[in-house]
Amino acid sequence: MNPTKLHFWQLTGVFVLLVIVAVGLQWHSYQVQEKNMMTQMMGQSMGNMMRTMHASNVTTAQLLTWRTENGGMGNSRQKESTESMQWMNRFTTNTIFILLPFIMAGTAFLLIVWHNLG
Amino acid sequence: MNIRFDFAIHWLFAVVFAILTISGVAMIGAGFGWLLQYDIALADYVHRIAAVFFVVLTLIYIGSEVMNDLRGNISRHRWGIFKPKKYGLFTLTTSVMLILSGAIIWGSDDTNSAAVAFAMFVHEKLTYVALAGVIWHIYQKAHALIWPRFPKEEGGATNLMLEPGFKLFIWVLVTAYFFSAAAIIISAAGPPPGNIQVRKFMAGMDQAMDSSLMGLAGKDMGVNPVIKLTPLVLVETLLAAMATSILVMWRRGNK
Repeated sequence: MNPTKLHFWQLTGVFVLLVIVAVGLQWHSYQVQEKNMMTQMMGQSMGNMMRTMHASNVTTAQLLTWRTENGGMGNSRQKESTESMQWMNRFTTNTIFILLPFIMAGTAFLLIVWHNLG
Repeated sequence: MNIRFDFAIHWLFAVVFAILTISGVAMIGAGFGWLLQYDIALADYVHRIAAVFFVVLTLIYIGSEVMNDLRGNISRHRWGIFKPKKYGLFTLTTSVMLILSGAIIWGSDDTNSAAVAFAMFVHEKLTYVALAGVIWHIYQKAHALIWPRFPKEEGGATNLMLEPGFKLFIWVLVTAYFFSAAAIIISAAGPPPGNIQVRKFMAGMDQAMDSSLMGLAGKDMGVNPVIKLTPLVLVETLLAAMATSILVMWRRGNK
């Protein structure tokens, strides 16, 4: 074994052991429960669930068309929000959406300029 | 101590991505919520603030590389996070795709459920790919874990790599990445979540909608003028970037 990789394999060994023990204990204590529809639906990852619900049979045109939908994922809630929370929301949202075009443009520039340097 | 720009960005990027991974994994679904005790509000808050740092660091580094190319210089960033080949290119594409899909999910509003669902799916799967890439990168650079001696020629950028404190920091960071990967495998390979886990996860999501940034961002999505302006600026900056890149290529060809 390459001695410089020793610590990597030690860490891998520890975590593989951890995974085997954790998964083994989970299955050992697992009892089959009767699941309602909500549990079956939410048992998946959010990405898989959302894809099944909203994006299983969509066309590219539908993906790119932004319109008002009824009964979508409406989450316009937030019962009580402090001023600091609102400030944080404005700060994070504005920073991300102001910088996004420049990141995309910079990436496009680099990918074109770098295409024959790889 | 003289710390180089690319060295600082590299490690800051690694820390921020580790935070994003752990907080993001906790929000993947009911089977993953145990990672942060189903405190989705905390995960959401941390994830959104870390995302800002991730975006800023990405832009700073892309900006430095763009300036290098505009000046006709060859990048000398040994610790560069984005490079024209191999892992550097992989990091650039995955980072930008994570940022783009994350921005679409950001408000999760009603204007296009299909796009949000698709972005959520891509964001999740891309996280697994990026994390696998990080583990591969750790394997390639495993010599950084050697304690206390470290080959000087590899860490030539700065002698901070030889400091015991920094070595400890690297170990903590690498362990965090291994922990994230282990958490994903445990959640995916374990039994499907039962009613109790699903209820806890849904309660966590409800709490996040009510008391974290998730609910506020959704409310903000349709009215924030910055968000409405972003697509217009995006088209203009993309056109400018393409024109400039063609100019740089033409100049390079004439040399």
